[in-house]
Amino acid sequence: MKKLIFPILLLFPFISSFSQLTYNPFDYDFSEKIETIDGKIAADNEEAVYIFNKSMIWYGLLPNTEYNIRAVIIHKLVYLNSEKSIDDNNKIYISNSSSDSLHVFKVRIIDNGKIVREFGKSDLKESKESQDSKLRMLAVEGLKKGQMLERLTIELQRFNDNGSVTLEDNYSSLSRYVSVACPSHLKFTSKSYGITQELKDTLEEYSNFRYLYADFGKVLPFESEEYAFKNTRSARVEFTLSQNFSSGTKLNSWANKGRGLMESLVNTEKSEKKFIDKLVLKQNWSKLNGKEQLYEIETYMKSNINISEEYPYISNVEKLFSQKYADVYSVLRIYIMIFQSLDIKWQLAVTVPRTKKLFDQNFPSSAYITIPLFYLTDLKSFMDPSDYEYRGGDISYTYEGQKAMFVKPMLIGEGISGVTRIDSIPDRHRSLSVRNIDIKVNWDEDMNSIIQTHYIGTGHGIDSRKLIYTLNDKDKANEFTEESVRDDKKEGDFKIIEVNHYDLNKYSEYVQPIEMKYQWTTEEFSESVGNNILFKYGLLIGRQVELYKEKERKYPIDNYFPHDHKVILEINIPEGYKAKGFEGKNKHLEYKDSSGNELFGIDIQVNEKDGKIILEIFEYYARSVYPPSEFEHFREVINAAADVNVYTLLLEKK
Amino acid sequence: MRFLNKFFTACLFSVFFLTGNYATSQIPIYNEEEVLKLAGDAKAIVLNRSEKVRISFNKGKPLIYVTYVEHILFLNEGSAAGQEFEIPYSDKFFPLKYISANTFIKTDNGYKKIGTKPATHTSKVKDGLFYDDMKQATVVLPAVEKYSITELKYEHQVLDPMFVFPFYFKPITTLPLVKSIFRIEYDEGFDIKLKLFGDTTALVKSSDTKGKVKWTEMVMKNSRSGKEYDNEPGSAYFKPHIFYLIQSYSDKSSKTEILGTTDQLYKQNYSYIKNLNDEVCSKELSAVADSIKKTVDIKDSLQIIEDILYWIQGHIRYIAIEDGLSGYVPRPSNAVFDRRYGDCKDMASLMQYMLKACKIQSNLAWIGTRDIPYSYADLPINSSSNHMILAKKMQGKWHFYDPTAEGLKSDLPSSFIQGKEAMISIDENNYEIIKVPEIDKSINYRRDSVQAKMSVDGGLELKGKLSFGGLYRWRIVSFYTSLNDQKKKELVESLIKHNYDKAKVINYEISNLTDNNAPFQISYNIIMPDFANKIDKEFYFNPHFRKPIMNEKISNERKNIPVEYSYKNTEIFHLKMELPNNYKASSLPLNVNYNSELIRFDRIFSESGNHFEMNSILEVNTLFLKDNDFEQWNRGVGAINKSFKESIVVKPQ
Repeated sequence: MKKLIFPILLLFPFISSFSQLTYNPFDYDFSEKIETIDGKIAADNEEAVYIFNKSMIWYGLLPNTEYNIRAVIIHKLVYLNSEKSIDDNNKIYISNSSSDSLHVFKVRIIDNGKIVREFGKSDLKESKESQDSKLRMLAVEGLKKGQMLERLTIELQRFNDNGSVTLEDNYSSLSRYVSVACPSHLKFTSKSYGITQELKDTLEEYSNFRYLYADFGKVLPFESEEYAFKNTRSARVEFTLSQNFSSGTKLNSWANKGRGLMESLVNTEKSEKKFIDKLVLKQNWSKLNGKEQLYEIETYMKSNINISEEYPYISNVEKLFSQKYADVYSVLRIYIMIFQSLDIKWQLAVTVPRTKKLFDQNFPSSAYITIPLFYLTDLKSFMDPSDYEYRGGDISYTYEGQKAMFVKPMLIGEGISGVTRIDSIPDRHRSLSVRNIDIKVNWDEDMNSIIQTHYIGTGHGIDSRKLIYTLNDKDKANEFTEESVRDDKKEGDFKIIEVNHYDLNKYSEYVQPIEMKYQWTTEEFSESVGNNILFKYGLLIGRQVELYKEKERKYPIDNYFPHDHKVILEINIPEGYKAKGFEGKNKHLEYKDSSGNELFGIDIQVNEKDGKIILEIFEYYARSVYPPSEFEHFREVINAAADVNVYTLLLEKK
Repeated sequence: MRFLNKFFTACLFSVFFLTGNYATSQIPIYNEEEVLKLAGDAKAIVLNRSEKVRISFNKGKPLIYVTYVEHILFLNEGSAAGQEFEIPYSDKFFPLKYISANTFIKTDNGYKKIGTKPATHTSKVKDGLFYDDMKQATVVLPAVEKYSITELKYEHQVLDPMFVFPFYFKPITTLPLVKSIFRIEYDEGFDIKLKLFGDTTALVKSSDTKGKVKWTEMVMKNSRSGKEYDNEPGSAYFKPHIFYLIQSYSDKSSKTEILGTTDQLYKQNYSYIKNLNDEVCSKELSAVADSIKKTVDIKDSLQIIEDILYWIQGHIRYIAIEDGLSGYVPRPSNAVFDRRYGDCKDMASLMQYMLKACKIQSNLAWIGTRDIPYSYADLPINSSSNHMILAKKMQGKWHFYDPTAEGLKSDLPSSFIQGKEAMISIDENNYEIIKVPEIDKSINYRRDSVQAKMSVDGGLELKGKLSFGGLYRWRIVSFYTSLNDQKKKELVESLIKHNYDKAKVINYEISNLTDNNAPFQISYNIIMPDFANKIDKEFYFNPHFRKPIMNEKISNERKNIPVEYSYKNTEIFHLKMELPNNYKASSLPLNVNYNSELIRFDRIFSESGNHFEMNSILEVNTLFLKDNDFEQWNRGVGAINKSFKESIVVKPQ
């Protein structure tokens, strides 16, 4: 008998770790053992806490078929420690696309170690909450504070060679577990971001599968900071298919991805070419060149074809032009055919918005190539086929300052293939995204201030105003302008005098800065002190919000885009009054990096000249991202601008 | 809101997206020059929208079809292709008989028609609802471009003449419209009543009889793009719309009454509750009722009512549930108690059931929330109610209890039912229609009492106590409790920082969050750096840290669109300011007393040594402003604003 004890003891740890590691979406289920942990202690005054929070990905064959699929297993147990957490959890939404492939959906409520209610897939109701969100929903009836909610969803999805798991959830997770399982002839690699621990690779197979896995232990919810993009800065794990041992192919190279994408887009039928040549001729694009030519092509396409992820891929060019809506890849093909017809040199530049992820050159994954752009090599300009707002070489700031996978078409034999490199999409210089505001203040006979504003905006500094004016009726667009200028101040007569160069669909207007002139006659900024007037001129520049520092800065500063902001405010001192209180307001802050390159700065001058008080502000930000170490200086500049809001002039009766 | 009237909601959805022209599938002929002139800068214009209701007999019963058609001319450069249109329907009440959508593209030779793919059909669950038997058909419009015309047509059958819903002539204010038509045709034998609401001045009516069919038509023409305003009440208050009521029908020898009187409406409503709670009270439910009863004097029925109301609010979660007729029929109270969730009618009937267990009689009552303008006499149909509450008569006076209004003091009606009629069920044949009282301004208050100390650099140290009562308390507490910890902190800080961005919060403490009978209070300490402007040796600052209604002036352009406020209210601000030693307020603003029917403002200053005090009180005594109130209101706001703009100068002595 004694002889048996040794091998059994050895066997238990092995079985234990093996069974914990391995899983299969077709037999994965809730554990029979009910968690009896004291959630109240675990929650430690938090609204709720995940006792465990598991994300397990599985790649393999759909049983009894030859279809390669991906299964995503989400298994979490949350302890509800507040009324708010009940409201957060008593409705569980499943997106409609997921519901098509929802293999398992189970929810149970646990109270003091006992299951008090269970729900399944049949309890899900189809719903549509709004125009944009198609969902299915489970009503978790009878949820109470102090209970635990255990949830298991297993979705079977089409094979996708990459994915990511965000580690920070809406509450703390006491145990955050991530795993990726794949058949042993495949290899996935992973990389962690925002957290030091990486997934381990079993390197060997368990029942023909190998696993990448890690328990990250306690993971706190994302702590938001001003000027930090949540998606970009959240801790996450990316994984991607890197090798197929059975075919001997290395899959995760940018070269492969670029070539594959290019080959799927470039080869066209003769009839399609004929159709496009006819279109090019009809539109007279060959008579244009440079950015104007690019602009006209884009304007035609963007006015005629709507693009959405939800629209289908349409390979037939004629059908696409008849239907006028399709997915982006259908439309990319059209652009390529147009470029070929006009002999415009182009490359693909595929990236991801930096408001979501920072492109990682060292981790070749399709997760970083979600947005296809064109790079027009002769123009040295980029083009986004799916964004209505940008034309003629302009793209959204979310791609600028980001790396991209560039793919150049190359004739190989009779077909076209692609050559790939990773390069940067440069930031636009700050002087190309400018807001210039000239304000003149005069007075009417009742001492209402007459505020005349001349706004000129270029680049990203126009705050989508051209888009608003192009897409809306002019009255409606003027309402937007009025609301944004007035903020919550409704007093007085406001009139928009002129809006020029706003139409995105006219080249001559598109290339010029938007110009707006408006006048506001109001006593909003004046207060009386006996016979004198306090004029709160600092508020005329728009509300600037103070930036506080409560904790050490954790994330880099996401500053949207480099830009300049200039204000010249002239206040005519009304007749019979003298001005006081403008002295000593001048300020100059300027910061550079250790190499002497400019970072950001502000210059504020308030002077009296020719019967006027003149406030001049020049504020600039040279980069789109700054390291956390620059936060204190960045804050100083932001707060210097915010301080202007309290500048007040005393107009004293002579 | 609350107890959802699906038909009314369906109607609102439909008018947002579609309408009809009972003409066939042909685009309307229009004068391009006139239409473009009418459209102005608009990106699209409705060429026509219309609804045709056809009521005939089928085996002696009403057969009702409602057909809609809409044509929109697109005038923008950008393509609207891929745009979705949604048409709600219910298989049980108003099934969709057909739907068709097309785009007509302008060509050199006229118009080319492009049809849509077949509609997709999904269940519809609105936000806040758990189950609902509403469905929707969705069509995607192809090929829309400048000068193309979209056409949408569909037809509902109305299975139950008790449930009718309105036609809005111009549901989207900002979209100009060439023509909107409502037409009803009905066979001899039907007694039909048309009820018009909103601003109907632009409607032209015609009617006639052709053979044995009578018809009436209402037309609105050439309506320009309008403006939307802040604080608009529900669109039913001002947008022109029409209901058709089948009051009765006579077939050969018999006459069947359907709609048209409050008695008929009550009869129908009572049918939903007559068999309610016939079963025996469950042990668990009895135990809770007993435990409440034991804690108070059995003769103190007011206290028992309050305890039961608060128990339901604390233990039963409000979740709207609609599934066929259960949109109208309360669920058994034992089941609601067991599941711990329910909608307004479930919660009201559970309260009645628990009171009954404590030997206290009470009455269920139907009510329309304030989004609905109709009185029961004006519109005695289901669309006049969308909520259920409990009523209790004590010493000859009705009291109203809303179990869905968690956090509200028991003797107050919720803000969205005050001033509205409640139809109170007495028994099978008797009911009363009673107006729920409007809550007095003095009950809904915000009081901020601040002690401030100014430093020699113009900064303030503030110690304050902010209190909220009545509906003001309810609104703040409801919002506060719905937030996570970070958002709660942000909300409190926004309340105590007096709209001064540079203010820094030192600490704060909240009290009476869960005690509905006590004011919600925030005691706080903050500093406000650079608050007073130092100019030469003097300090200048405005003592009105908060300026309510300052931005509530009503635009002169606003015509026939009322202004709605959630509740009457009072704002009290008490400031006690200590100035730096050897400084003195050189001239305090004058005391003010402004009084009108709509607003009252009082401000009193007093000073002593280097201290001064200001007491201000602002009362808003209205829920609803109509055109003829605007001038008086603006005069009041102007006068109060002037006072708010008076600053104080502090000088060294």
